Amino acid sequence: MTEYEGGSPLPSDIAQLLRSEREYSDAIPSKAQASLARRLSVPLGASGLHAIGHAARSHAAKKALLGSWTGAAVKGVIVLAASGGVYVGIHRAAKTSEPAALEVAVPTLPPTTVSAATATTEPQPSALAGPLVVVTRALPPVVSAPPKADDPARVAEEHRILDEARDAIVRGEPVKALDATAAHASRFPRGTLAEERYAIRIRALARLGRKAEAESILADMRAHYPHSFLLEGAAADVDGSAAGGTSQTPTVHGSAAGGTSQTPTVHGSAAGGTSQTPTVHGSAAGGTSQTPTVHGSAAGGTSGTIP
Amino acid sequence: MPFVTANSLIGASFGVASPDAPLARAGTTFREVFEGHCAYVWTTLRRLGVEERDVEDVTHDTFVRIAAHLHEYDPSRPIRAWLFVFALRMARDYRRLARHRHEVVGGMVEESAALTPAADDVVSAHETHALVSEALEALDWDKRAVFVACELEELPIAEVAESLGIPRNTAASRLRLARAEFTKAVRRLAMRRQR
Repeated sequence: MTEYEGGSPLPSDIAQLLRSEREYSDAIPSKAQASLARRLSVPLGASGLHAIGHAARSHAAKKALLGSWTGAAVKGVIVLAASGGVYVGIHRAAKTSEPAALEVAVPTLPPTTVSAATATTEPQPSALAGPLVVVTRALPPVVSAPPKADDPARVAEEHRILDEARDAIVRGEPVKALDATAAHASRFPRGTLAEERYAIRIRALARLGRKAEAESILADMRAHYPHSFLLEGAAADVDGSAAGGTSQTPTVHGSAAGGTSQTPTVHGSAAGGTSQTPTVHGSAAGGTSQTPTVHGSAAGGTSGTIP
Repeated sequence: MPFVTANSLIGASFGVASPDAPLARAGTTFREVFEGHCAYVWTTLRRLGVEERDVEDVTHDTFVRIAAHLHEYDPSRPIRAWLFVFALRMARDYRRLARHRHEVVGGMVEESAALTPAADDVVSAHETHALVSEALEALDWDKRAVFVACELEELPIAEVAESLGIPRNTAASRLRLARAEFTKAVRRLAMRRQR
């Protein structure tokens, strides 16, 4: 920022300090970067990791490492990353939601099953099989883990159902999205992703023009998750329902910054062209400093409309 | 495309450029972005006040969002400016969580010391970074965000105001205050280190 809008310019030594700081961008520990690559299913070898530190400076070296990733691979990255790793893939193969399925599926899952289930027939580097193999090896063999509150397999199944709902909305089939959220509500009434279920259901109802129902569930959602990052988007959906569902800027409604990651959901018009930076909403309105709501008590029978 | 999920990204073609200088080619990938800019995103999140213990998770979530929006990236724009917006908003959301808030105290110290040229010469890049990081801690988040965006990322203030959803005058006002507070904090820290 060299143009000053009032105020005095920075002293020269401070300006110099900031110039030096601008060049500094290697503060990430290599261990953390490797961990991130694993979590994001970015397949990196030792040479790849070595190159990372120099990537920003050595563009040629970076390019040499780059393979060809397709959209399918990125899709895999997102699904796996957002859903807690390989559990999604395994679950889709096993077509079951019980935690017990994981116990059996992980060690014995034949590669062909994974391929078939993910609709990937060739072991190309761009296919889901790559990230799946990597993550599978990282999984400890689960023998008899008791079902916990945030059991990864159960959360993965929740993600699977809600992904169906989102896909249905993408396809323009909000009724099917409602079916999927209803299925989620019946199987996981107090599930980890109940908060997301609210948001998806509200969106589906808004798409159907059922504004009154959407508003009712929005009110319910506010009651259960007063600080939800998804509230803002859900309210926009309800408003958009009245206004014809158009939105000027791309909007992202995602999960909280820290903690567990959820599948990012995007809505809004990609048109416009004037704004190249998407608008990311992630916070409940207000921003008042209060204790975060304890989640997990969704749809606790306060109303007949289980979202 | 009114509503996009991860699944609907299948088959999307991405046009992503590389560090700072826009590339006129399409087809750069998430992997490229991650490899080339992971350290940048990490560093930026730290500058924006994400605690060390949380920065890996927030970086992860930031890249999940980046992946979901890669198809929207305009290669004629510097990618770091584009990535910064994601980091900025993730950091904002992070700071809004009550458990990540902390009140900034201090700023009452009158004594100060300039950074002498001699000191500049010996201060390593790492030490400079440490000094800047510590001085940034003296700013509350609102001012910190504007300061980092304008002074370290050199983004136009209008763009920063838009990204933060605040009026331009508000952003300019925060920047003025932030400059003064940052300078004061650096002076204070420099004095402390000279003792």
